[in-house]
Amino acid sequence: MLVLKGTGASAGIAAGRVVVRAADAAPPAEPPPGDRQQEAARFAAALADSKRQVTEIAQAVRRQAGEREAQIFAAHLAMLEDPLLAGAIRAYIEREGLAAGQAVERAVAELAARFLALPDALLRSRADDIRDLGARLLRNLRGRADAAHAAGHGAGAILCAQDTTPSEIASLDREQELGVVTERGAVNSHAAILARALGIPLVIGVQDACHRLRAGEMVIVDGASGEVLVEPDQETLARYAGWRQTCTAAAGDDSPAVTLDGFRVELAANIGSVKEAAAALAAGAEAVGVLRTEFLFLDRTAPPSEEEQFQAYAAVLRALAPRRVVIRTADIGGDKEAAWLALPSPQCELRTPHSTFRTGENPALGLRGIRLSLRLEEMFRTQLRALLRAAPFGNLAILLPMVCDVSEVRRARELIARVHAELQRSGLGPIGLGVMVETPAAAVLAAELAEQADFLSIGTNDLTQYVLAADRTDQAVAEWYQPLHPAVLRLVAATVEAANRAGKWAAICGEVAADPLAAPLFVGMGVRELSMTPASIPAVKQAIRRWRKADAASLLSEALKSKEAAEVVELLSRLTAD
Amino acid sequence: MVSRTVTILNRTGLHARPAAIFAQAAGRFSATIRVLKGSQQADARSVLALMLLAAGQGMEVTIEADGEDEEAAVTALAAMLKTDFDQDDTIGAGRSPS
Repeated sequence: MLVLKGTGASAGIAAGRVVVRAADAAPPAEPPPGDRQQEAARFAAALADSKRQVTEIAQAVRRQAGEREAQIFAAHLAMLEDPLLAGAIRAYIEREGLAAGQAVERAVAELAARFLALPDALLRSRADDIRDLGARLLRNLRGRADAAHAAGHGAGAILCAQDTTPSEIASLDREQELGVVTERGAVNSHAAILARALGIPLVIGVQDACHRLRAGEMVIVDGASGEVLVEPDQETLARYAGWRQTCTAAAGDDSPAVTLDGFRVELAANIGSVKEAAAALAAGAEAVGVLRTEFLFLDRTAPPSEEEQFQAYAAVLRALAPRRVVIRTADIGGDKEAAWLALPSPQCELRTPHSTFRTGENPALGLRGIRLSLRLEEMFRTQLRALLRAAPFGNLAILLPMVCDVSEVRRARELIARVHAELQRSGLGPIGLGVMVETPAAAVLAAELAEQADFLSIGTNDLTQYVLAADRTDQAVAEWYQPLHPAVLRLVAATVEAANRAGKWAAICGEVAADPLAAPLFVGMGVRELSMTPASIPAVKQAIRRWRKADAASLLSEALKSKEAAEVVELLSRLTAD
Repeated sequence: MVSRTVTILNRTGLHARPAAIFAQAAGRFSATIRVLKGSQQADARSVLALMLLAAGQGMEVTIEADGEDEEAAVTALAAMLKTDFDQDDTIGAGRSPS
C-alpha cells in the first residue's frame, strides 16, 4: 500500500475513488475581438454574471457554514468591483484595445504577482482568491457555465487537483465529492478555511499528486495526518471506517465545545514544532495550549540564536492568529537533555563554573525547566527577547515549566520586564504569563501562584509521576503511573478551584486531557481549557457536548471520594457502558 | 486636505476582513481618501490596494482626506485603526488570558 504524504488542512477521513482534475486544458477559443465598446460590454456582462454567482455561493455558504465563512465571498464581491481589478481590466480594454479575455488575464496575473511578492504568508495567499475570481470571469466571458466546471465527478469521488479555490470547495456536492487532495495550497487559505467549516477532508502539498494518483484508484484521505493511502487493504479500510465514525460528527467543526447547559471549554492543541501549527488548525483547535520550545534546543551542538527563535515563534503566532498561542519556555534537562549543555560553550561558561548540567541518576528531580532557565540567565533572556519580539505577530502568552513557588515566577516576571524595557517597543500590550502546575509543591501552593500568574496550566504527566513517585519513562513502574489516581485528581481539582477563585484561567495540558472518558471530570472542575494532541480534539469535543456541567460536577465529587485509581476508572467506564 | 498619522492596533493589521470593513467605512464619505504607508499609497475604497500595503499591527500609516467631509472621515477612520475593529470576541479567538 502506497502512502503519499502531504499536509492536513481540514481534518476528517474520506475513502473514495480518485478523480483527477488536470490543469485547465487549453482555454476554449475566444470569439474574435470586437471593437473597444463591444469588448467593454462583454466584460460588463461577465462581471455581472460573476457577481451574481458569487452572491449565490455566499448565500449557500452562509446556510451551510455560517456568517464568518460567507464573509469570504462578500470580500470576493468587493474584490471583483475593486479599482485594481475591474478598474484595471476596463483600462486595458478601453485604453489599449485588448480583447476582454486578454485584459482579464493580464490584470489578474499582474495583481496576483504583486500579492505573491508580499512578505506575509497570509497576504500572499490572497493571490489564490484573485486567480479564483479571474478564472470565473474568463469562464463567463467564454460562455462556459459554472456547473460544467464543477460537476460530473461522480459519486464517492476524491478530487485530486494541482490546487483548489474557495469557490470550488464551496461548490462541491458533498453527497458526491468526499475529499480533496492538492499539490499546492496553504493551510490558512480561504479554500482550507472553507473546507474546515464545511467538514470536507483536505490534504494539501502532496507532491506530484496528479501524476502519482490515477483516476479510479481507491484512496483514503486523512485530513488530520495529511496522509493519502493508495489502494488500502480491507483491514486498513475497516480501521479507517471506525475512525471516521468518531471523527465525522466533530471534525472540521470549528464550533466550540459547549455542555448541554452552556458551559464552554476551550479545546486547544499541544504542539512541538512550527509544522504542527497546521495540524492544530486542521483539527479545529481554538488555541495552542502549549507550544513546547524544546525542538529549538535539542539535537544540536549550540543553543539557538535569538534570530532563529524569533523566526520560529513569529511563524507559529502568525499561522494561528488571532488564536492565542501559549509558548512554554525551554523545558530542557530532565529526560530531555540538550547535548550542547554538556559542551563548553560561551553561554554556559559565562554563567557557570561547571561544564555539565546533567544531574546524574535522577534527572526528573534535577536542574530542569525554569530552574535551568534561571540558572542560565543569558539563555533565558535570549529566549524572552525572541518571544517579546515575536509577540506583535499574533496572540502570545508565555508559560513557565517546573515551577515550585512564587519566587520563580517573580524572577521570571522581573526578567521579562527588563527585556521589555531593553526592546523599547511601544504599543506592545501586556503578555499573559502562566505557570505550569506539575510539581506537587505548585499544586499545593496553587492559590498563591494564581495570584502572581495570569493563568495556570496543569501538566498532568509530570504531576502524576511526582505525586505517585513513578518515573514515566520506566516500564517497571508503569502500573503506578495513573493520571486518574484520586491523589492526582484531588490535587488537580484543588488547583482548578484555586485558579477559579482568583478569577484566573485553569487549563489542563497533559495526556489525560485527550481522554474523552476523563472529560466530564474536568468539566465538573470548571476547567476553562483542555489542551491536547490535535487529532484528539474531535472526540473530546463530542464527549463534552453530551454532558451537563451540574451532572459532571456530581460525577466529579463521586470520583474524588475514590480510594484508588481502579475505582475512578470503573466509575467512568460504567457511564459509557450505559 | 486633512491628514493624520496613526499606529495600527488591530491585531491582524489591514488584512482581508479588516481591509474590507475599512474600505466599506471609507465608502460612506464623499471625500477622496488615501492611506499612505512609507512611499506606498492606497485608495481607501480599494480593498486590494489596502491589502497590498501589508500594514500590520504596530505599523504607522497616514490617512489623508480631501473633500467636504474630510475632517469627519479622517477622525472616524483613524479611530477605527486604533481599535480591534475585527475582533470576533469569543473565548478562544479572543485575547485572554493577558
